Amino acid sequence: MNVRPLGALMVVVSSTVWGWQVASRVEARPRELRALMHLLEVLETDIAYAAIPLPQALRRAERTIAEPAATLARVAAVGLAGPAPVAEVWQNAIQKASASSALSLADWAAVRELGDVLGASGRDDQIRHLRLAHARLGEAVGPAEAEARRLGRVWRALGLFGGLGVALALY
Amino acid sequence: MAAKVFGDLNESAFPSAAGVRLPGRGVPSILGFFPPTIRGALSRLPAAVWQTAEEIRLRARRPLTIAAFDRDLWVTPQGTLATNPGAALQPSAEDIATALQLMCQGSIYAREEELRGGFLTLAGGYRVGIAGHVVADEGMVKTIHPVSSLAVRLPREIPGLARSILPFLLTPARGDGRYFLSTLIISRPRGGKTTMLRDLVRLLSSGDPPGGWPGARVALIDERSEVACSDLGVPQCDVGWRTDVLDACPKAAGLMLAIRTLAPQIVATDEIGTLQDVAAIQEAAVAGVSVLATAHASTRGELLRRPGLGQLVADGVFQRLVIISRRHGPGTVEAVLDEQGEALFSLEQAFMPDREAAL
Repeated sequence: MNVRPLGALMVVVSSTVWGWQVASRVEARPRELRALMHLLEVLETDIAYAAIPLPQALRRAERTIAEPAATLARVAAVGLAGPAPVAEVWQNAIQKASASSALSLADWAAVRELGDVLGASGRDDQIRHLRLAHARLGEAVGPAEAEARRLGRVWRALGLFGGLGVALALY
Repeated sequence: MAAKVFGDLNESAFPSAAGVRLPGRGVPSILGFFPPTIRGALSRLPAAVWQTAEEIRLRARRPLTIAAFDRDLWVTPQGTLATNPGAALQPSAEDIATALQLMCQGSIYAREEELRGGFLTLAGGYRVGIAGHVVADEGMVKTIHPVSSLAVRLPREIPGLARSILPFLLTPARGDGRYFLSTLIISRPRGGKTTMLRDLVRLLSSGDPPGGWPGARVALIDERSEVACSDLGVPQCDVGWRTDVLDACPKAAGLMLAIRTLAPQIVATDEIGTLQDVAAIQEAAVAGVSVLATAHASTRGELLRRPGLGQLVADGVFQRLVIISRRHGPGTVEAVLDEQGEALFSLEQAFMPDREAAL
């Protein structure tokens, strides 16, 4: 039995799937950035209008936001029930949320720095910090969307045609 | 240098604290709000220390202190008590900031109003006094930041503390029953006013059958959550079967709210002093309910000199004045006076009649 066509097909399929996966990650980045922005908006509302303590505000936010912000909110809310300081809890939550996220270290930087001041001052100051982090994430959304449109197609095509190229070379 | 440890500050050296108990276990739950080093040292202290401890004081770069029976006990990093303050654990500024954050559930913004007032009330009835750099705006305290001192007052219940004075605070038995006379409890700070008030509320509410008091509906306006030690509005201390608690409610607003909506026979509140409080008490007193309150003053004379409050006493709004001190521990009843200032009971007369006669 000739296995060559089968092998070539497997190479093409694998390469295409890989291309789709990379493209999905690239396309997920703006979505995840927006999810983090949404989290900050929810926190700002809860802090500004009702001064809801962080653990409760994070639990409320978790129910309405997408990943990885939901994981960040959930892990932080659980951590704040313990004796660890906010900054430590926040960094730990970012570590957990970023494990399966498409965001880069630079994307997380604004959220990471928020951990040093989150909950540590009065309402007006908290709102300023949340808006600053929100603005920094917002600045990254535009380029991330453009990159997703451009590189998403590129990676899909690269996967498919790269696979075909390899299959032809091996055939 | 190794810390010299108090030889006599072991468990047996602490006076028997029968009837004295802190909410929860021997070691107070407040330790969960402290950073690990401080929590570790305090949790290793002998259990007897917690039976008599009244306050834990954390001051940045100064010795960790426990106040008990008018003594300051210095706590070492090993969890022993030292004679030398220099040997004590000295919390850092970061430790204080961390403790404050933990007390605020990482949400200082949510406790802004309380911080502005210089205190926090935590679940379990712990009251935490706060000091540090005051940020003022047009003569008003805007906030305290950074915080450099935390004075944690440990609440205590002494069931039966008020039983001996209850008969002085009731009308004589008549056909239509007995009534509670409006009463003001006074002492210097840390004299045991809140402890006395809590037990009196419990007795008035649940009743004291041996003393001929069947019990009454009590509305407790607990502005600082110190009397009922409420957690999410539910009292953690025994304040009686017929007590409704308006937790964290401003006194002046709470007194009238309670009278309008809860139909109490007695309204009780802690630490009155402002002109708004006085106005609310005056209104309550003519609304057909008895008032039980506390105030800072060590004598009737001092009380009469206080603006507003003095007039309230002079007008006879309070028919009984209970003066307490720390002479034999917090909550020692020095005297019970009627509205004219005449002593119905005096500790001096009760235990030193010869001295009184000689004077």
